[in-house]
Amino acid sequence: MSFFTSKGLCTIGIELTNTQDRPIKVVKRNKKKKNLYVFSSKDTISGVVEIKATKKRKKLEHIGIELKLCGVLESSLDSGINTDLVSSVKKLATAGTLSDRKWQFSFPEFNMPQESYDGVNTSIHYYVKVTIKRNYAVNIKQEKEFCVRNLDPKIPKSVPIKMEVGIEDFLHIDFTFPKSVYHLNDVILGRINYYLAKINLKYMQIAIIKREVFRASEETFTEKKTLCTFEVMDGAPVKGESIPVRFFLENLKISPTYRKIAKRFSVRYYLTLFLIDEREKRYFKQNEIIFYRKSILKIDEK
Amino acid sequence: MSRKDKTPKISQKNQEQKKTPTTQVGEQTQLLDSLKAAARRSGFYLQRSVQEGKLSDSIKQAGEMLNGLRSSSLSPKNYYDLYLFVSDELRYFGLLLRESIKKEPIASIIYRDVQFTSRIIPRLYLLITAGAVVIENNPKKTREILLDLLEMCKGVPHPTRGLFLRHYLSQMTKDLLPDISESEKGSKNGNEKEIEKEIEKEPKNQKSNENENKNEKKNENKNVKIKKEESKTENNKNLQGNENEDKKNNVLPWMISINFTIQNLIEMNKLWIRIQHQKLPGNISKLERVSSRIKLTEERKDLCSLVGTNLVRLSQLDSVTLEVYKERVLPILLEQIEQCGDKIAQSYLTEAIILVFPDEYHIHTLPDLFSILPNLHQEVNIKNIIILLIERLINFANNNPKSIENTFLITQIFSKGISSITRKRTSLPRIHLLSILNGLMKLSLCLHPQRIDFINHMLSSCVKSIAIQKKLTKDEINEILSILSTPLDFYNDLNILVQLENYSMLIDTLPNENRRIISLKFLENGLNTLTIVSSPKKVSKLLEITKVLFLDSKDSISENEEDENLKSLFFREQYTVCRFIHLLRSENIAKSFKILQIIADTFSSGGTRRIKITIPPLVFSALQLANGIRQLEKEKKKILNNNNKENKDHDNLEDIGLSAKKIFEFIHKIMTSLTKLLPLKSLKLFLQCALASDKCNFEPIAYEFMTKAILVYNDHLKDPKTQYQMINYISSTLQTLRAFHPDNYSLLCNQCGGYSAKLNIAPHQVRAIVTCSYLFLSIIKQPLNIAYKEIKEKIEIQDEKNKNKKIVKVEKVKKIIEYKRPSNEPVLLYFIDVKRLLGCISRAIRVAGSLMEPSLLFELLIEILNTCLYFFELDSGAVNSSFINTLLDLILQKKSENESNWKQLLTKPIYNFYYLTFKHIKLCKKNKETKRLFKPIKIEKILKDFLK
Repeated sequence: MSFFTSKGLCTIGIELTNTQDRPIKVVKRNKKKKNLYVFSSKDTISGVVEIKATKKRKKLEHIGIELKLCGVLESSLDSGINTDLVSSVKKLATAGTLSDRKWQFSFPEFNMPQESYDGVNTSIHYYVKVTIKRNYAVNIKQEKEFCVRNLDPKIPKSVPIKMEVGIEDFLHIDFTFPKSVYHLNDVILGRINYYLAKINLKYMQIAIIKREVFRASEETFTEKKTLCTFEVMDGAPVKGESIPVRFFLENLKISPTYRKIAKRFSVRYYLTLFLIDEREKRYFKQNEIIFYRKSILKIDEK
Repeated sequence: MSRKDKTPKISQKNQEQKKTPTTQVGEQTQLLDSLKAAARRSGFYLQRSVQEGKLSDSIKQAGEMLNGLRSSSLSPKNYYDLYLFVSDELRYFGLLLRESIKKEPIASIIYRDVQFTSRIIPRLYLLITAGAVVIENNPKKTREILLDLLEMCKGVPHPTRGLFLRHYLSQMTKDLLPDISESEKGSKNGNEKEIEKEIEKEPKNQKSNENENKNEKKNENKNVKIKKEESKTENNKNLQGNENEDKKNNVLPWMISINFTIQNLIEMNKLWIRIQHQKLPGNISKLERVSSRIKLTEERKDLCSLVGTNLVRLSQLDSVTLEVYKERVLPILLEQIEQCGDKIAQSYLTEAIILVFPDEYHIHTLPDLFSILPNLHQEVNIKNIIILLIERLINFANNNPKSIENTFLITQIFSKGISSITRKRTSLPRIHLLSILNGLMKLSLCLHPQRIDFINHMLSSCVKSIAIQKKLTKDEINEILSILSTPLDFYNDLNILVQLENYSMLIDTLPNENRRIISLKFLENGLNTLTIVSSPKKVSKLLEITKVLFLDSKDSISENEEDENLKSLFFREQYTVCRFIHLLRSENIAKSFKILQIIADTFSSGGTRRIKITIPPLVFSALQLANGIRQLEKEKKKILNNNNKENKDHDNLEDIGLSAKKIFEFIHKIMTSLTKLLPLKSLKLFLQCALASDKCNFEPIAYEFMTKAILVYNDHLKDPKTQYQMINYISSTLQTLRAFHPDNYSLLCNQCGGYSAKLNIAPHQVRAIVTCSYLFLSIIKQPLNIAYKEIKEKIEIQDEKNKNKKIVKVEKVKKIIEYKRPSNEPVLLYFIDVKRLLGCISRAIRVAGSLMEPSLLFELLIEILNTCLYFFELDSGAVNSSFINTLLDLILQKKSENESNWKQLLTKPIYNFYYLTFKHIKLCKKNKETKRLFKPIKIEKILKDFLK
């Protein structure tokens, strides 16, 4: 049980129960490592709230105590306005004087379709939040974050990727990847076939690019991030050759693909191929790939 | 890979390209040093991580270390240097992997984790290292890993880097390739043996039905094969734990090794070729472009061994048996060679295959090898390849005689192969074709020396190839000379060589000087081996082959008299010819004569220069033959006399119409051309002929020769000194002749005397006359002489009848004088004419007396004295004691006339001569046998003179 002092008036402890055998996700908050329990949608979120008044001589008046479970879409882009994705409020106490007390709470089979997500400008966080409302003073708040991970109930339909790069009479290359859908620990396998390569290629690399799109009230912000580049070919290929691509996703910090969360946020991933010629000129081609979650944690998160 | 750390390198590279080539060497070493230093640094960290057992850290460090190998700026040589350094350091990483894999079965994790490395070059080096460890730990995975590695290596199509990467692959896996192990072999053999035993047993049990037996045997053999394969697979299963997949595909573990190696070879070859076609930076001048292309080619050639290692590896696999080689290895290799279309690769690989695999394999795959040769790049030096192959086969055949079965077939394959090459490869230089044919000839000689027709055929091919009107180059000429020498050196028998119909045709293609060289070599070969050529036909062929030595030809170099080299060469040739014709003879006289005639015919058109040198030995050769015939004739006569029955040989001789006379006629004929050209020599030869015919008892012929000699003397000799010499020759020859009728003899003697007296120089005259004097008291000295024997027999008969007669007539023709000295054995005199003898001596003394020079006079007188003493000692009555005494007085008188300056006049040799002569007389006076004869000789005065 953790206790937090709020302005020295009282401590609020929020403890989640039913956490045995639950995976823990380590995150950084304010440069500090924090261990979050991982829940999934339809899990029952239950726990204990304990409030202790620290200064017993002074009575603390309040106009009610609330317990709120919410999933919030937070973005630094849209003037800091957060959107509640899901929320549920329980009243713990009506107006009165604060005294030491414990409450048990439970949100049975709570629906949390969106996963927790830490993005560049936008993120999704889940909390259990206790608020002591006061009339003339600032409310006393305490929250407990947890992490939501959902296994995709149905795997999106995969289609083979075939991308062609061509400059007439100069270059004709195609990339074939049998799958467009990968789980987070998957291996991207594919081939690059050369039909014509008059351009003197120097090397080739693939990159996984993440694109966060946030639609604020007035404009849409897009954040691109190259998660990694991976050299797949060194030198210039010869007509008729076929270069294998094998790329392990395991080491990569990726989330599943999210589409239109709250109609304003999506995270998409793209597989990009760069061909770099002798003059450092780049030719590229990209195609979206879809990630889904097969296990609650990625292997590297254990 | 972030772009940031990529850019500096590129800019650096661009700078390098702009710099002039001169600074490149220094730059290269600098670059190599810095890359090595970086690798050493990472290597240090790597070792530390290894020691601490941190796998992921060491992967990172190893990847860091391998980054140096991504450099594009190093020359292949320096890159190799760096490669060696880095791959050595990588061993630590391998050690760690090996340790980790022992602790827990994380093979797949290791194999996966190294693949997180984002840069491809380090990633693949690590992957190979890990793969090798995985295989080592679990051989079941061999196939899977090897195939995967092969596949992944495709990611580096960069020529140099790819080549080294695959080389590393080859190095790391070399000890891991499954092969037929020793134990397997053993078991295989064991199986075979058992089966063989079974087969052996069978016929014994079923002797009654042989046909059935045979059928069953066949079946049994099939079974054996099947069983063998079964046992193989079983063995493999036991030893290797063969994977199911492999079984399905019917892939045996050792096949994996073969396929893997071949595949890697093919890929490496492609990369190697690609080095050649690398694009050069666009901003350099044409000149630089050319020079850097050349440099590139050179550098590329240095890398050939990287590709070749794979071939070596293949040859080291026990599983590559002849059958496997023929069915599965060679066809793929050949296809690859043919397809790659690169001249350097084609020639290197073909040669490497020939060198690396056992010769036995080549023997069985010759047609396959030959099938690709015509299709190779036009610039590939086919010649080198074929010659290499030939050399190997010759070597093999020499080391393992009898091991090659169908030798005939091999040559045939070569022959066919070469003809298809010449058909398809129009650009094949003539010199190469000639070299190939030369090699083929050597092979043919090695494999089946008895097939002269093959050699002849090849010579004809050579002739055909030269038929194109194009002047022969120096190299081509040398090659032709070598071709011509090949059978010569091999057979060392001219008799075989003359059977080569095309030999002379090929010689004819050469320029004059080279024809001479080879012809000379030809003859010298005969001389060195002392090969007798005894068939007239062969002789005329031989002369045809070497005709350049006998005849002037259109392209003869006009002999410059001042050119000493040419002169000496000419003489060397002609003297060799002289020595050589003595080898051309037969046991059969008729053939020998025929041979002589052929030679004479050839010589006769050779021009005076040659005749001068070559006729004399021919004459001698003929004389020898004449002598031989004479001997035979005599023997036959004897046989006929003793036994009147038919004699075959004699008949034969008569049939042919040959007799020594004919030969002398022949000699006479060839000599006539010589007299004008070479009077001195022909004179001597005539004398020689006279001697020979005299021995054969042909008086008229001998007389003719003598007359000829004297005629030559008379007509052609003008120089007094020569005249003097020659008249001496003539008279001394005449003195030994024994077949003459005394009248003829005396006639000749007169001529001699006459010419002697005509000599211009007085001392010459004196001496010549003195020499002539011997003619008139001719003694038969040689007891073994045939003529002598005949005569002696007659004498003995005559002696019994007329014991007191001193002069005996023999067969009416010859006069023989037996003179019995009172104290000695009888002396046989051939001719005696005291009057003329004394006439000669007197004339000599008279001429000498007219000389003004006392010392010369004195010398001559002593010489005359010596001659007289000789006659005196013979006790022939020709010279008596008073004559000697008179002569002695004369000498003393002449001496005393010049007493005053005697010592100045008399040179020591003359004085010694004088003294010794005196001493001789003194001794004879004391000697028991000659005491009586010498008694009247008075020497007191001389003694006194000496005592003074």
